[in-house]
Amino acid sequence: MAEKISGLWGKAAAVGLCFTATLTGQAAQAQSSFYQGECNRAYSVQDANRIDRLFNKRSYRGVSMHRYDQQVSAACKSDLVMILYLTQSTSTTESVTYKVHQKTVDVGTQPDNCSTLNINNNSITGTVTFSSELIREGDFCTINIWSDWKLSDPVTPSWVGDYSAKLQILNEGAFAVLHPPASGGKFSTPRGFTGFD
Amino acid sequence: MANRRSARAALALAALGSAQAAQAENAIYQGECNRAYQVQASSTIDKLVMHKKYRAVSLHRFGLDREKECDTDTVTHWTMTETSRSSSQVTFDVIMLDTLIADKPAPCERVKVWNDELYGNVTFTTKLEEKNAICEVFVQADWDMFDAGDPEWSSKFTNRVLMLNAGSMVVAASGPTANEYNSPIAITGVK
Repeated sequence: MAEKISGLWGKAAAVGLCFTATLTGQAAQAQSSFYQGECNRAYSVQDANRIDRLFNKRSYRGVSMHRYDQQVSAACKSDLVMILYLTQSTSTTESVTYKVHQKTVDVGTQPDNCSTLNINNNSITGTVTFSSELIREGDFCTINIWSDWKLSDPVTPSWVGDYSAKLQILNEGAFAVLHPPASGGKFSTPRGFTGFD
Repeated sequence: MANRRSARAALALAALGSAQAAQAENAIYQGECNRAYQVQASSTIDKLVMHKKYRAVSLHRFGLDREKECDTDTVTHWTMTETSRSSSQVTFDVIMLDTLIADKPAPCERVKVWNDELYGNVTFTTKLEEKNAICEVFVQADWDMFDAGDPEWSSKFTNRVLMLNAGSMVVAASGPTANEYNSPIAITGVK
């Protein structure tokens, strides 16, 4: 679950910063484990919920909304909406990997000098790999589901998005990627995904 | 415009409401009932839904022909502002706005904000349900929505809310069909 955020620059930097915060927010995420409890049961739970069974959809679409404390964002009260398209590339009992394409939309809510709407079909692409981990502490076991994202932007070669984030599995193939807490006018919603065959 | 918008919104909200049956696992607590009553007493809703303002986003496709032609997604932006708070319930004013994002060139519009909006309120409470001596405590959201452009339209629906880290929440949606989908509603507190 290594963290690497580099090339902080522009909008891509904001994405990187967001997920740096995601990592620091993990202490608060203990309640978002897939399972917590007795260890014999944990092994059964992990076996019955292998990662390739949890992520068995051919593709997913997800969305999140962000506000960063950049001047334009504060003045225009603009929200940054990220739409992510995932397409499965490999699947094993240990991990499932999807290709990622990201689209970004700035939505300003103020008139005049603010851009009310700006879509950036930008070039951020990469992969995300889903896996589960079982942590044992004495007789108490925890199962977490993780996503490891590796993104790049050919338009901004110095930027790399390389981060890990915990997931909450929801009903019917949906899931949410957790996010950092809000602070000082900044916020990031969780990232909600729905799956397709 | 308003009627089309309302029809779309009604579809989305109905889908969100129908997701209930699949959400049994989305509880704060499941287990022994005496403990469940303690959990409910200590986890009051004003502690769980702690922020005065929340922002949220969700992604939808409603099964319209034009969506298929243009590969259009609808992004719904939700703004919730607190109007009342007690240990038993917390209520927010709600405004929903849509952005349409198409993936195809003209005549498809690449991106467009709908100028009409849905508004209403949502009330969060904690609930305790007992089934076969197993109790679960969960957070429930009761929504009551109206359309500014269509006074005849309204929608009331209820769903479970899954609490995440740092005061954020998510409302699970129904599973996708061939031409429709609704992402979870991802909600975060704003300071």
